[in-house]
Amino acid sequence: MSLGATSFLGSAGDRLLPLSVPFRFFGAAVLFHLAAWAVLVAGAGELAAFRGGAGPVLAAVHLMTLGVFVMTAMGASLQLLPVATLQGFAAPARINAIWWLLNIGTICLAAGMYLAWHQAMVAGGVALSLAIALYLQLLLGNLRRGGAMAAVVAHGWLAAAALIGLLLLGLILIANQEHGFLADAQRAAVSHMLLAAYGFMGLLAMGFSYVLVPMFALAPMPSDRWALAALLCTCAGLALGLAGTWFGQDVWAAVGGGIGLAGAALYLGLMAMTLRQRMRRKLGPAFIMMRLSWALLPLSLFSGIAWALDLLPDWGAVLFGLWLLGWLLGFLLAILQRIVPFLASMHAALAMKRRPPTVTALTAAGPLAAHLYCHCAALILLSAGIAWAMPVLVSLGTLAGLLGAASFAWFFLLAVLKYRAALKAPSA
Amino acid sequence: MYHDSHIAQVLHDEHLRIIDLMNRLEGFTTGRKAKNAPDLDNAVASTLLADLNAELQGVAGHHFDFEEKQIFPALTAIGDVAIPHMLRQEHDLLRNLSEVMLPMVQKARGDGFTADDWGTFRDLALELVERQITHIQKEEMGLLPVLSEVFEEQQDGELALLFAEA
Repeated sequence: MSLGATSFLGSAGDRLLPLSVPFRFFGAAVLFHLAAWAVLVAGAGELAAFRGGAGPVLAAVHLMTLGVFVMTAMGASLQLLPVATLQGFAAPARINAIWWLLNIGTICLAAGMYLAWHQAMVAGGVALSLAIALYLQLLLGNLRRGGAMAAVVAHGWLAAAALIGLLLLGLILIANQEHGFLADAQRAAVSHMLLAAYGFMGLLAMGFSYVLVPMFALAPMPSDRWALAALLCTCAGLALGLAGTWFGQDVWAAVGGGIGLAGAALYLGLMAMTLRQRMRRKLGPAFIMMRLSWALLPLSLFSGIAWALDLLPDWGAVLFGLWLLGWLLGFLLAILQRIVPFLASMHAALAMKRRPPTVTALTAAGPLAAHLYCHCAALILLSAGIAWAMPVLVSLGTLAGLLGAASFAWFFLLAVLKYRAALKAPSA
Repeated sequence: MYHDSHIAQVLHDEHLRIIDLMNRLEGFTTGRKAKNAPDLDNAVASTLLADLNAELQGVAGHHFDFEEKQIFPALTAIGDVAIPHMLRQEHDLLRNLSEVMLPMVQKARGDGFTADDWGTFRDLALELVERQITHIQKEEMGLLPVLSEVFEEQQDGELALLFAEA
């Protein structure tokens, strides 16, 4: 054994977290997913004309981004980063605190946004800042010590930088709601959205794709060189897009979108190559969802560029936001439907002396199929309803989304119940 | 794929071989044709059963024994306890499945499948495929990338030789 190994892998015993840690985050994300669609059903009438400002649409967007995206990203990264970086986390109390603060912060912020209640937004912002600060402390400590998977680690660093930026902008926007000191709050809000979606969440999604997609498909990991080239394009495009948005230079923003498109093309090319080289023939329905989400990434960039260049009618901005969120939501739900039963079966194998349930036995195929149909229906109905100004289609789209979220929650609940039943079975 | 560890590369190549067999087994036991007991007089089916027989008789066992004797103790020594424990549990489970399936495969190679035997074999085969695939996924993600950090170059080479010789 190498001398350095003991110190390098000093906390390697913690690479596998107790199941309750990631599942607490995933369970909360599943509930926030339901809540986001429920709030959007209530605010369906305002969706097509949404241009920012307090109300149900802004609340639903933050329930989705903070409650679903950030919650899932934190839960998944706390379990996946130790495996990717070969460094363990040993901070159960801090992880617990992050979970509570993130939940409380999201609920307060969303309630404040729904009711245009500034104090609740401030309280939410403070709780979220604390949650993010604690998470960053864990994340950066892990990335600093980690030596493996250079491309994943680089994505982690840049996602962390984006997280700091979006947090600061978010806090400024909350303060601006009350004091109105920003010259152009809409440009700041768009910058905040770009940093959140293409920055923090997008970079984490891309980084973890390079680990999870090869693992599930049993394929070679893409080369670090090409993954880093995609990262460079994505970040250069994002930086230019942000500068263009912030300084009101729409051509810069469009060129940034173009560079981001090159990064997306590289990333999607790497994913396509990975899947072409896979050893596992049957990928399962999660990959239908993942491919759909991948299609929405370039679509969001094309619509963003067109919006920046004023090539779209008024509804262009809403459609851009819908496809952008659709990319990330689809990706995360595809990953969740694979890792929830995978982790449960893994922990069952640890806890049981005899045959633990297989991944298939823990996967409720019916609710997942229902979710897939509803998710697709929601995206199509919302896109059509917004573009053709047909409120009835928008309302039906939000209802389809809510039904899909309920199906997904049913899948998650069944996985937990089946896992518990297996542990209690006499053969365990 | 694992340029920095010979033993990781050797184990990875073994995984590729097992995945290929599992893919073939899955193809043989799923779909419309798999509803009835198959005719074993064709080359594809007889080769598959011969390969499966060899695998269940000990090829996979060699892989498992090697990991349990040579790899897992080194990981446990540096504090990585949970992952080797879990992988060892899965090895035991796969060994049990192999023990149950081996006589069925041997009987089928001689006399073919009866309708009842085929139903039981198909269920067990699909369970074997799923457990092998998820086991390999875990090893590919949680075990092989660590090996270059755990073993020095010389020891790494010796382990690769030891695996090939056994």
